[in-house]
Amino acid sequence: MAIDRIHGCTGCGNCVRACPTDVLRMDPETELATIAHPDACQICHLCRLSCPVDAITLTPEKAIRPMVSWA
Amino acid sequence: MTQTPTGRTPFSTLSRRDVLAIGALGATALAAPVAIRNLGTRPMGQSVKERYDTDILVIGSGFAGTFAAVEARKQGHRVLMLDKGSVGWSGLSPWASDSRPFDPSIYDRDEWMENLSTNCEYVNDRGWFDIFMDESLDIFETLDSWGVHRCKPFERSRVFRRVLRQAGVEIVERVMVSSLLKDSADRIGGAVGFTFDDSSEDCRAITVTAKATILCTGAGAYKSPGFPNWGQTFDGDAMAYEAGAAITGKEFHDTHGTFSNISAASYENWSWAQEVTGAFIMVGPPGRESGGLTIESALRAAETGVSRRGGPPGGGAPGEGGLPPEFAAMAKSAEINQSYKGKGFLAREDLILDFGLPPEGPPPQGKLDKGYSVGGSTAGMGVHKSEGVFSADHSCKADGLDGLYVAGDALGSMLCGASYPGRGFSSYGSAIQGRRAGQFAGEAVAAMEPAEIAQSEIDTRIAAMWAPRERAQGYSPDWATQVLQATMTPFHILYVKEERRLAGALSSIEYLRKHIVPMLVASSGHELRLAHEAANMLLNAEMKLRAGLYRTESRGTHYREDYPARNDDDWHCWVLMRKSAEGGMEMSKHALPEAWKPDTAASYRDNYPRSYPGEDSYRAARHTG
Ligand SMILES: Cc1cc2nc3c(=O)[nH]c(=O)nc-3n(C[C@H](O)[C@H](O)[C@H](O)COP(=O)(O)OP(=O)(O)OC[C@H]3O[C@@H](n4cnc5c(N)ncnc54)[C@H](O)[C@@H]3O)c2cc1C
Ligand code: SF4
Ligand code: SF4
Repeated sequence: MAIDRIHGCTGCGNCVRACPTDVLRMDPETELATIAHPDACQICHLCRLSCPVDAITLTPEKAIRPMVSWA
Repeated sequence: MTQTPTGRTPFSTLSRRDVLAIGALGATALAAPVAIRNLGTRPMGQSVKERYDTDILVIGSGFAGTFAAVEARKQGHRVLMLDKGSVGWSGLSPWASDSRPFDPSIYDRDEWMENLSTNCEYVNDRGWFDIFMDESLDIFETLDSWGVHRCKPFERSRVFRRVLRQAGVEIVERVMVSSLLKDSADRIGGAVGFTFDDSSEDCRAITVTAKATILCTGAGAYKSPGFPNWGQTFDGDAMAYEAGAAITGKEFHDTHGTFSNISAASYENWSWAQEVTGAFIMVGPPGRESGGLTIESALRAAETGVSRRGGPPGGGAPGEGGLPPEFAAMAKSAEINQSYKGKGFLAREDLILDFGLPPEGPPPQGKLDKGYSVGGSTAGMGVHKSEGVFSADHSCKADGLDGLYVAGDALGSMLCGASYPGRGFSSYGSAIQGRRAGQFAGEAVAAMEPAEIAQSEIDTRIAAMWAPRERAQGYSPDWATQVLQATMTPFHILYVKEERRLAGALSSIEYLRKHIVPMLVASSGHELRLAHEAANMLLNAEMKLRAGLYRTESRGTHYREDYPARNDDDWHCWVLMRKSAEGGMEMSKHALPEAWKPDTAASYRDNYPRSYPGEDSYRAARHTG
C-alpha cells in the first residue's frame, strides 16, 4: 500500500487538510490522524510534506487493484 | 478480510494471499451478486443545511481561483470561495514548477506566436496567447511580490491562503460542490455541495446563492496511477454541462508518463520539483515542434509493444543516445535561466536529467530502481488549458449562460490547441484567466440584482446530491471507476483511435452512464464524494469518445488510425458539445478565423513537422484517389 503508517502524530491536523483525496481523517476519540481510506491514496506525499513532526511513512509500491466482482 | 459498510471487501484489506487466490480463481468464479447492499444507507433529509449568500462564488482555490477571488475583492464585492480540498493543497496547483513569462524587452512576439501555433497545430486560440504575452510578466511579478518564488511548490498553499485572507475572501474548505443553481430566467445563481468529512459529525448540505459564480475547478483524469490528480474529476465540466454550457477540447490529450516499477507513485515522478525552493523560468520561445507533450509513447506502444522511453538497455529502440531534443534545448537555456531578472532562478538541466529517462544499468546503491518511463499516467486528462467549458470571447463567461464564469484548467480556452507546446504555460494561464474572470464577473455583478433561486430548485439539487447515500442497493463508486479505467486507459482506445474501437468503448460507457450511475451507492461521506466523482468521470469519458469519433482527421494529440492526416478544409475548428433538450450529447463545429490556418504557400510537412504512422501513404492515396 501507498500510505503506510502514522507514528508520532501530535494531532495538528495539517495532513488531513493537505490530502487532496480524503485518505486521512482525525480520529475524534484519540484526536490523532488516522488512515481512513487508503484505497484513495495517490502517493503524492503532500501529507508527509505538511507534517511538522515527520510522522508519516509512505511506500512507492506499484499498486494494482484487482477487479473482484460486479459491484 | 474485513467488510466495509457497503458489504464489499475493500482492496486495502486484501492480503497478498487473498489477491493471489482471487487471481487463481479466474473471472467467472468471481461473479458476485449483481448489486451490493448499502449497509450504510441513511436518510439525509434531516441533515444540517448551511446557507451562504455572497456576490461572487469562486469554486476552486488553485492559481485560477486565487487570482479570481483576489481580483473580485479588489472591486469591492463579497467573495466566498469553496474547495473540496483546501487552498493550494489540492488540484494541480501544488505541483507546477516551471513558467515562461513573455518578456517583450527580450523576446520576439511573432516568433512566439508562430512557434506556439505550429506546435499546437493551428487550433490554438491566438487571442488567448496574445493575452498571455501581454500579462504573463505581470503574473510573474505579482507571484514574486507574494513570495511564491521563495518557497517550494507545495508551500504556495501558505502564500495563497495568506493572500486570500488579506484580501478578505471568505474560505470554506472540504466542501464538494455537486451542482449549480439556476433562477427562473436560467441565470446561474450559486451552487450546492456537501461536506464529506463525517468522522465527528454528519455530512452537511451547503447552499450558496451568488450573483455570479466562477468555476475554477481545474481539470480531471481517471484516477490513473502515477500522476497527482486523483482529486480532479472534471466536476466543473459536469456541472456546467448539466446547466447548459458548451464543452470543448475533449479529443486532445495530456500524455505524461510514469515509471514501470513504481507506476502508482506520483511523488517519485515529481520529487525533483517539490524538493526545490525557487522557480524554474523557461527561457526562450516554445519550440515549433519540440518540447511539447505528444502521443509518442502511445504510438510506440502500438507499434513496438513497448511504450517506454529509451527501450531496453543496449536495445535499439527509439530515443537512444543522449537527451531527447527538448531537454537538450533546455540545457542550453540554463545559463540565462540562472540569472533571469537577477533573481537567481534555478537552472533546469541538472534536474531534468532525473526525469523521464530510463536508468542505464542497475540503479546506484541505495537509489530506487524506478524502471522505465511508460505512458498513461494522466489518462483522461486533456491538454492543459484546452479542454473544458467553452467561452465564446475572452471574458471567461460561459457561452450562452448568464452568471457563470470559468477560468484556468476548467476553461476550454484552447490556449494550447491540440497539444501542450512545452513547459511553462499552464499555471500562469490559470492565473491570467482567473484574474480576468474575477474582473469581468466583478464588472457584471456591479449592475446585477441578486439571483432569486426558488426553494424547489435548491431542494431538487440537494436531493440528487444525497441520492447515493440514501439508496439501499446498487453499485459501488470504486467498481464503476475501475470499469471506466479498464475501458478508457488502454492506449488503443484513448490515444491510438479508430472508429470501431471508439464505438465499442462508447457503448460500454453509455451503458454505465445509463444503468450504473443512477444506482451508485455510498455508505459514507467519502463514498458519496467518490460516487459523484465517478459519475463526472463517466460523463467525461463519453465526451472524449464522442469528440474522438466526431473529428475525422488527426491533429496534435488526436490521432485517428483511420484518418491519419490533418484536414484543414474540414477540421480547422473546435469541437463543441452541449446537452440537447432530449438529454443527448449534441456535437457541433466552431469555425476559426481563416487567418489562423497554416500558411498555404508552405509545404504540408513544413506546417506540420510531426508525422503520424500511415500519414504519407494516406495523403498520397487521397490526392490521387
Ligand atoms: C505534476 C504536475 C506538474 C505540473 N507542472 C507544471 C509546470 O511546471 N508549469 C505549469 O505552468 N503548469 C504545470 N502543471 C499544471 C498546473 O499545475 C495547472 O495547470 C494549474 O495549477 C491549474 O490551476 P487551476 O487553478 O486552474 O486548477 P487546480 O489547481 O487544479 O485547482 C482546482 C481546484 O478546484 C477544486 N475543486 C475541483 N472540483 C471541485 C468541486 N466539485 N467542489 C469544490 N472544489 C473543487 C480542487 O480541489 C482544486 O483545489 C503541472 C501539473 C502537475 C499535476
Ligand atoms: S500521499 Fe497524498 S493521497 Fe496519499 S495520504 Fe498522503 S496526501 Fe493523501
Ligand atoms: S500532520 Fe503529522 S502531526 Fe499533524 S495530524 Fe498529521 S500526522 Fe499528526
